Amino acid sequence: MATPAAAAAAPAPQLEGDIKLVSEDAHEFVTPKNVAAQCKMIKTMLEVSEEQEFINLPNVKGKELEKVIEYCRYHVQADKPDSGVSDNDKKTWDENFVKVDKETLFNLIMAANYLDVKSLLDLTCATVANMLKNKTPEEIRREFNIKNDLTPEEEEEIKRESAWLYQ
Amino acid sequence: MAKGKLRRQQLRDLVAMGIPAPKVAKDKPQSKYERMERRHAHDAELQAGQKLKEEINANEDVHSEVDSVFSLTTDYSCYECGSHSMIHCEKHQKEFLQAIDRIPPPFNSLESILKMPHASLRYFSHPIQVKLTKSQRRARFSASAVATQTLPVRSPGGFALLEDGDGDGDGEPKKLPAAHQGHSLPAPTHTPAPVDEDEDEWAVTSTRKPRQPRQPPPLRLFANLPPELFGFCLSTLPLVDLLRLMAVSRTMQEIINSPAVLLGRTRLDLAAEFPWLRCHDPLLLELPWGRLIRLCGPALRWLKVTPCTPALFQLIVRSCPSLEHLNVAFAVPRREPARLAHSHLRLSLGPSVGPTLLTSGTLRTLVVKDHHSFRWEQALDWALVMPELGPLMVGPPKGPGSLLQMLKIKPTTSDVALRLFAGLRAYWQGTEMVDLDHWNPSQLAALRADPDGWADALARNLKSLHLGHGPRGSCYAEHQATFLDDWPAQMHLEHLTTLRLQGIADTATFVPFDGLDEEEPLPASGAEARSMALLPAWLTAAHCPNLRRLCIRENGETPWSRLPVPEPHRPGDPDRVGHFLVPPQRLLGTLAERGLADRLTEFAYLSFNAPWHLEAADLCECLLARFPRLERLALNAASLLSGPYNDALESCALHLAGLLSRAPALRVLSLHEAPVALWVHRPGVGPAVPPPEHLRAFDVDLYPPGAADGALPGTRRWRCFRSVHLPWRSRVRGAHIQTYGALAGRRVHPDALRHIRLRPWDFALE
Repeated sequence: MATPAAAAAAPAPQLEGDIKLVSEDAHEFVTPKNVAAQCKMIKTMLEVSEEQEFINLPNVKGKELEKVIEYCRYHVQADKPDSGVSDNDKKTWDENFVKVDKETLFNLIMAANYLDVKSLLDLTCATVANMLKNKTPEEIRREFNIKNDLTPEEEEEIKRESAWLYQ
Repeated sequence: MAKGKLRRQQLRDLVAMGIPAPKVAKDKPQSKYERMERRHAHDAELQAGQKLKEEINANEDVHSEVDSVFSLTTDYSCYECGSHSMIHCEKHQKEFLQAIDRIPPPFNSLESILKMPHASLRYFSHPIQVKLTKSQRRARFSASAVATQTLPVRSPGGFALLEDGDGDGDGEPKKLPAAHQGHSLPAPTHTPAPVDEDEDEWAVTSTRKPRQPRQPPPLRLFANLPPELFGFCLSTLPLVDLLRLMAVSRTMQEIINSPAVLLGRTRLDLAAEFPWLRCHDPLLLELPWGRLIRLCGPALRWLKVTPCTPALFQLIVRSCPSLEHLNVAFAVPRREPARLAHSHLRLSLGPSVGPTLLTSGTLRTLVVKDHHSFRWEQALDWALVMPELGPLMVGPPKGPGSLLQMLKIKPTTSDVALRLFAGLRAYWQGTEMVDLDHWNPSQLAALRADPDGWADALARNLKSLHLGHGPRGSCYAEHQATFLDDWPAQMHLEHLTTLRLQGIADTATFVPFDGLDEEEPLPASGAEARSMALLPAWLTAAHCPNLRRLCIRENGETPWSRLPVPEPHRPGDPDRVGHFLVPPQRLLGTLAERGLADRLTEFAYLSFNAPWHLEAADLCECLLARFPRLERLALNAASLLSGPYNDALESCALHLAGLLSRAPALRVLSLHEAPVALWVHRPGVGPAVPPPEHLRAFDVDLYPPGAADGALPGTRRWRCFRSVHLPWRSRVRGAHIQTYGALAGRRVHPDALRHIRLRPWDFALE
């Protein structure tokens, strides 16, 4: 019987074949298991039961699931040692990947969070963070449709205290 | 209820309110064409209502306020009295109208609300969902038209509109109470319920649900992105952007103040977050750093606040009990007299201060600096003199983990030094780094006079030692040297890995002086010997078996540096001899004789304003032959030049290139006082010598103080600078202008070049 340490050191089983992913709105995507396993949640499910033919993803819509699979598929290919894809190429691809409308971006964040794709979550969150940089509060409210619930007194105090932020 | 019955009831309602019964339209549409036209008009109205609904839904502010209106009424009946029309309920109409008033224009009219199609009611989160009958809807539309006097008849089978809306025949609509001004009046759509005096009984028997307290609107930030994920997005933002975001909304403040974003930060470097602020920037006093410290304090482990104020430090002490590293530099506005600054420090750090940080036992590193030495003693004063703070700061350790691992301080008076040392005595054993730069003879004497054998304790754990020449305008190096000579010869600094000697040899050229005017350089003859004599006798491989980093730096603050720098420098120029004391070759030879050559991995020999009469070839050969393990080397580029400045450039560059190509261990080269053309190009010639491949970093101080003017005769500084990174662009990521303080991130003015450091490997600038 293998010791726990030995079991931990054992390589993860190779995932072969395809898996069908079913989105919340009943879109079906057949994708290689090694691509789907980029999502830790799916990977865990596959490790528990390798025989299952499809996985229902009730919290991800088809549009976002398609994007997530596209992301995973690219990075599985690009991360191969012999792929010849440089870090700069990956960076450029990522930048183009997140050039989507805001709603899709936010849904992607939630999908990445749900499916546990850390790199995608970092990428999308960083994109949102970049959208917030160097903007005045009013610009942020306008762009992200945020209601100003500060009282005039609170606003005045913040402006007085942080006037240097807007110089 | 039958259609006819409802209509009659509505008519009775109008009459009961003093409004004459509407006239029934006589010209009912008969033809197919007319019926079709009316149906199209009705459809158009519905479409307009649908469009209005979409507009409202698209606007968060409007949506929220409309939502609040519908929380008061669903079918325009009074939410309290049930069957009354809300607008006609004298008790509650005011609230209803006020709710409509809060809707941003152009939707802030009852007409707009009434235009909304019935389906839209289901969208809003109101407590009661009432599906209106067709006749009710018809009545509602009609009532709207009654009030506004503008809408056409729209109810084919319904009652006709009054001509003036109030039925008095005067052509004017009925005057509304003051609270109704600006709003249109709908007609009641329900039979008034009998007034029930017993409210409790009503509450029991009524089928209406009691009014629900208004719920806060759901969080709709970023298209319903959950706050925790939104917080994750914010966690990567710089502090300055977070502060801006805090002014967006209260919800945003709550998210930012959450542990995931701000409160969870364990490391805070305010100087890095706000690099454009100088220590005397007036903005410093306006910054909300205090709020940041209060927010982040409980979780902070590492904090650097430079510049810091006494009040801020007081806040740190109170709010950051878990700090392990604290780096503060005090900045007192220049305009503030020293006396006031002192009293300010005392007041802000008086007995009322609860020194939670200093007694917590978590602090491992404390770095306290002051930009103005004359105030440093005051900054130190509160820490040592005040009984409630002094012992706590340097008191006995509470356990093995509570020792201060590093204490870097620069006292300037013997009084403070004595107190400091008295407090530090218990700490020598755990101190790993000592900086004695700027300690004057009295302070050093106090150290020597310590009866507890501090030197033994110090030597046991000391890893880094910094010895300096003394305060500006004074020359204490001799005392430092004497201090060093007092060390027992048998002492072994087994753990010492880093030694920095600063300004030691400067003393050998000048007599001690009290003022600049009285200084006189010592005769040039014998200066080299005197300098070598000041080299610590214990600086040997036997005494310091683990010494790996050695920095010998002749300070540029000697009086000589205030003199104009003549150029070009000629070898053997008698006017220049006497300042630069020990040729590198001689020093390197001495170190090699003492067994340090094959141990050192980092070596810096810097001497500002050195006369350029040294042979680069000799130095290179010496370094190559005797220091094979060097990984980092810092030299004055000037010392590599031989002969007149311009003529020496090419040969110097070649020598240096030869040195680097034959020193495979060398990874970092720093050249100070480097003429730009040395590594970049010669005007009209092109790039000189490219750096070798194995060199990872290359620092160039282009124009150190004192060598700025005339260093590049005939070449404009700016043009010269712009050419720096061009030859290497294809090989490196680009050049970066690393400037200090206010210049960071800005376009650099040529006059600022003296402060520029180029790091072609480390950063990028395009």
